[in-house]
Amino acid sequence: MTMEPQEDRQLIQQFQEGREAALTELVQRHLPAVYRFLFRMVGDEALAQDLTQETFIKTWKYLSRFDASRNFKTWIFSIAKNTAIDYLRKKQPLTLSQLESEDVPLGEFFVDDQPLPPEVLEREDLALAIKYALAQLPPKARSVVVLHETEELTFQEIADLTEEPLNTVKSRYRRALVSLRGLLSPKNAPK
Amino acid sequence: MELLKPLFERVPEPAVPTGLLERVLLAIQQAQIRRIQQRIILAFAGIVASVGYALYYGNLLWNEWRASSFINLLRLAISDPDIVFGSSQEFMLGLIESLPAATIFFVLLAGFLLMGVSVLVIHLLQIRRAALTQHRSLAH
Repeated sequence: MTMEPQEDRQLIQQFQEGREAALTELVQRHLPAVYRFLFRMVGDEALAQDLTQETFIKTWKYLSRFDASRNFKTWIFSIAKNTAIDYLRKKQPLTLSQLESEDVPLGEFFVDDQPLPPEVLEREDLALAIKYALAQLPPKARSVVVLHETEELTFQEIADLTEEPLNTVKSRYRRALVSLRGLLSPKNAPK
Repeated sequence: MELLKPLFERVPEPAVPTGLLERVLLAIQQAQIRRIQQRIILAFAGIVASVGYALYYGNLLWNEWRASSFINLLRLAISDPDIVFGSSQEFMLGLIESLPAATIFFVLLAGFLLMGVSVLVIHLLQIRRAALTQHRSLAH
């Protein structure tokens, strides 16, 4: 696990001691990453802005009780992830079978470590294709992929923030990888 | 497991929309102001409750005071000080025993409660004023 930046801790401590300006600095520091994550989770700019706002309001509400020994970055991402998943579930409730299939771990023997074929990486509409493919993934798998690939959180950090076993997170990532491989193949390009 | 890295590296990062930071800060301030207002309402309810409590126990204290021998003992001390000074220890003990101690305790409690809640309301109003000023400057 990466070390918590000292400045975050200091800012949290200052906020807990009553210095409201420390919160502004914390928001300023983490807003771009939270927005990027939420944008990739929901694929819509206006919605990502609303969810970012909601995430930071929740952060403010619980910050006074935040345990400074915890990692602030993973904590704020867990709030953002839960906010996004709550929204996605309200928008399109997941069926029981979807939830079950998302939570069933793949066996350790199932390792797909082949690099992506070059024709995928060379697609002209790659950005659109990724947006489309991410939207097809179940929310939990989507959050693992986005947190690991774009926000560079380790699987252990993701396991900490989702409060799930490390193997479940890795298994979810592998499952997502298999799905993305299929979804990103040129024959599945969005029309 | 870095298999998707080359994929995401080819896609530009979404830019943070202009004004999002201000919007988020403004929303947090609005939530702060709402929370302060809720606390002020609760504190005002506390003032009303403690005033009622103080009035009830004040009235009770007045009635118990009048019914006790405290005033008679005081009158005796004024009219016949020699007797009082002759047995001052017994007199003081009698005077203390005649006091409605439990009711006095509750009246004092109500008084402190009222004082505490009033200080809290003043403090909350000051915080609210500061938050509103900050909110207006951010909104502009």
